[in-house]
Amino acid sequence: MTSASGVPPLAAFVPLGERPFTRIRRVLARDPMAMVGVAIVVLVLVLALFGQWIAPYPEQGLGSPRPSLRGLAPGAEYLFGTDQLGRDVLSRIIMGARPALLISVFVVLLAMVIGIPLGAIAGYRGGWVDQVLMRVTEVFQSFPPLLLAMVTVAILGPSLVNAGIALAVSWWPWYARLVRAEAQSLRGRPFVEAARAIGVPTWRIIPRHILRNSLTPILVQATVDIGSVVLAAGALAFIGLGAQPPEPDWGLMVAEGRGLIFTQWWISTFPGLALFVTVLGFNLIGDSLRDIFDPRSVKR
Amino acid sequence: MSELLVVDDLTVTFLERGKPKNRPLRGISLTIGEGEILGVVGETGCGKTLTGLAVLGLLPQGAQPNGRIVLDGVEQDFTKPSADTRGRIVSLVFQNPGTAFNPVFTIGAQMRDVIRRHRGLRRGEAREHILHYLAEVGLPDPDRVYRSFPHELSGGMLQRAMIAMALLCEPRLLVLDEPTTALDVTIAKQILQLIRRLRDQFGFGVLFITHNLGVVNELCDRLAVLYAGRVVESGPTAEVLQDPQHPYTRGLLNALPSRQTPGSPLEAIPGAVPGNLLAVTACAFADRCRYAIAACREIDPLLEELSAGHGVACIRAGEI
Amino acid sequence: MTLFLLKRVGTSAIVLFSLSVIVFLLTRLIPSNPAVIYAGPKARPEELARVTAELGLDQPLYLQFFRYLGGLVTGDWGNSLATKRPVLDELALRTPATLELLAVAMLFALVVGVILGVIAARRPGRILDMVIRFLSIGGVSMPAFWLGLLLQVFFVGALGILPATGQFSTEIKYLSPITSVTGFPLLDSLLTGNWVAYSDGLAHVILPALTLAAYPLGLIARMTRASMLDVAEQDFVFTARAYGLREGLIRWKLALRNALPPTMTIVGLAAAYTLTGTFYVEIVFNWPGIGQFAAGAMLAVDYPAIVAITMLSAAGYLVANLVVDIVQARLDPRARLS
Repeated sequence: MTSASGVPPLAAFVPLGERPFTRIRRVLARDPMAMVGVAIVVLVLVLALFGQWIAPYPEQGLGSPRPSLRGLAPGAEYLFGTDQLGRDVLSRIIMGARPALLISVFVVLLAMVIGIPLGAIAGYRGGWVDQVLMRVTEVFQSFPPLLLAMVTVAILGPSLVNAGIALAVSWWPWYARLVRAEAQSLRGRPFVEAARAIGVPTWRIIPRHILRNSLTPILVQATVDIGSVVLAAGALAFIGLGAQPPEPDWGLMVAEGRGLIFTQWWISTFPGLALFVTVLGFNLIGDSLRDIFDPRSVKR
Repeated sequence: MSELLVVDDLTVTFLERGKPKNRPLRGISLTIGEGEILGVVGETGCGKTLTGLAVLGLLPQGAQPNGRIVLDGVEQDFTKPSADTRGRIVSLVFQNPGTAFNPVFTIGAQMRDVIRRHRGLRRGEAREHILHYLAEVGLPDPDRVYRSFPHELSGGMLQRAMIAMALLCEPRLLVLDEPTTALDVTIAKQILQLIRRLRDQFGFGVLFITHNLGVVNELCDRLAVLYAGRVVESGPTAEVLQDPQHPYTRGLLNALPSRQTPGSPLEAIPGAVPGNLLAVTACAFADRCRYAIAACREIDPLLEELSAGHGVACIRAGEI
Repeated sequence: MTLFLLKRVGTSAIVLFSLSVIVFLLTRLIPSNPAVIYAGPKARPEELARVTAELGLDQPLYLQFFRYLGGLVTGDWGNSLATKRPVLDELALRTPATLELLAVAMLFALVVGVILGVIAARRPGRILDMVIRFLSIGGVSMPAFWLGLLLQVFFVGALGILPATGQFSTEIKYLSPITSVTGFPLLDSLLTGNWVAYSDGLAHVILPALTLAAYPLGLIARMTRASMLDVAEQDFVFTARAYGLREGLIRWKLALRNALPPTMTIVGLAAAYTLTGTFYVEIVFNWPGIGQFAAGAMLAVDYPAIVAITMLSAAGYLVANLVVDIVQARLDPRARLS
């Protein structure tokens, strides 16, 4: 971390006990439930990357209907049964992993791109810049969660991409506030003051000192958020404000089978299970990682 | 004088996953008679607080006691919680009155919980009883204190209230763990006078834990000096303080600012208490002792009576 | 206290105003013309022009904004594009059902969440703690719309002991009609001693309330556990032990009272999650409340309804946070002074 990036001798002042990733790995390794989470997330990642080779009927997964095979119960041929259009539910679940993860990563990255620079500048600069930004985030956070996203999608027109944009619009204030708090606490630290004293310009201090040292909480927040966004996007799709048919979206699939829940229960049940397990995986990891910057919960 | 508390060869071992990790108490023996005030003195980490907790049966998890504690004629069972005894036979007053009370309940409510637990009094009777003791500890407006939340009272008032709570069930023994350390000097003085007066009035025994020899001199009938989990010297206060026999006791006395000639450099005992006492087989003080000889690093000295009631744990006792 | 309240009401008003600006800007971004939605797809051009003028859509943006703001203040929130009735009437009609559902769900989440949190904190790291931890993480990971379906399959389909959808059975209206006292039907049936309607309503509310409660329950259990562990290390807990007080009293009264204020801090947020949760839970259970109406309004781009729902929900969220703050102050005597 020191010489490779050409950091001046000043780096000696930077209190980096451990790299963020080392620390995250260490925390996860001693918590069995977090390891379950890691296993789930790895499985979902594998499905997202190699889904079309794993799914037994990939073309149905993407939506091509087969009217002759409508509503078959789970069996050897179709492990999770088939839906109202005769598509293999298992294949559609597997093919749904990629869009679910893509949209979440997209939302979290977009929220970071908006929130992190604003938060860093506000926290580092303070003064009226900070005041204005904080008032703005407060207003955004006064919307009940998801409501702003719903309204935005409703106005942009329902689609997966618009749902992503809408979620990012309502998510960035959390990153802004997180980074602002970090920047505020780092601003007064000796190594930052030393950098300022020897004339390092602000546009170099913020990435080098402020952002690098806020990396761990940002990473933790991002992990938790990817799970939450998968859930939120699923909820939007369920209402009809997210992915549209014939996309293999888990939330949408639950909605599609809703009317048949008492007769063909598998159409809704398995996609919902996939959604639940995926979110659970991220949340198990997130719950464990919260220890890193919330020492209160360490005592377990 | 009959013995109220007998602690005989008390050892406490901290276990981690079933294996001994440290042994903070290595055979403590002490006695307190009816109405007697015993001062237990020593540096931080010498085991004085742990001794008090052992008497109350409040050792932390993973601490394994060995030896014997006889309280008011009853041998304490280490395997069984002694919640019935605590607050009734023996009461604790500890260092920081500001945090010792629950911040969200009134003083009266907290004291009611105690008296309901041990005496089963009804609300009205309990109130009368509590007000009586609040007056007894010299609080000017017991009724107001009764209705107050802890944050509404000063440290000195809280410590008085704490003492009143300790007395509620007329215990035989009070364990006072540095009860004046967190208070102003003048307030501390008042509290010491109060303890002495109450002792004269109620006749309970006191285990007074402190690091302050001045306080011991003022208050205690006898004292026991603890070092590294052991009593290294004990006896009547005046005798021990005027004629200390153990090199550690001497070191403590010499370190008192009042004992030092103005202008001369402050004296201190070099070094620190050994961190882990599990491996100690000889005199634990030898490495810091200016009188240490070769034998001191081989023999583990036991407390022996030098004169009646004055014990010292040092192989060179009497010759130095 | 009065000063505190005034200040909070003041900031809330500013926040609501800012929200109304955001919502206004959002609704004016609508790609489709609201007049088309209002007049219907087959409207003739002159009719469209009339509706456009009627809705003020031909005026400059700032004039539209003042008109909109004036409407918000005077209670003229416009007509729903879908039902052509005033949106405020539409919402007023549906609010009691949603509030009752929310209240039952939050009450359940609070009671059970706090109990689970206290039990988990008793022996951190032990099996019971692990189970509760898993349950609460499961609760916050649960897609409520899916949980609702599962509960229906189990309690309605398999066991057949609870009704699947609706707020009351239809025959209640004829057999044992509810006399309105407060406007909240379940409460009214209880107050008027209408046991037939009350037990019927209770049976209907159980499943949707359970579904809605999963998320806040998990949140509250985690928070209670964390603050109980915090409190367990405080001196006064040790004092209580040193005076021989019973473990049950220490845990459930002395420690819990100290752990509740920090727990209360997330109750506001939990309530807000529950509020948006009603949007899909009401769909699943065909609950005649705001949530179902809101979801429909979003899909139909019924913008007066969207504005009204947004403003009301945000106001509800602000009120919930205010209530939480007041409760918190009541619980902590140190906060009462300031």
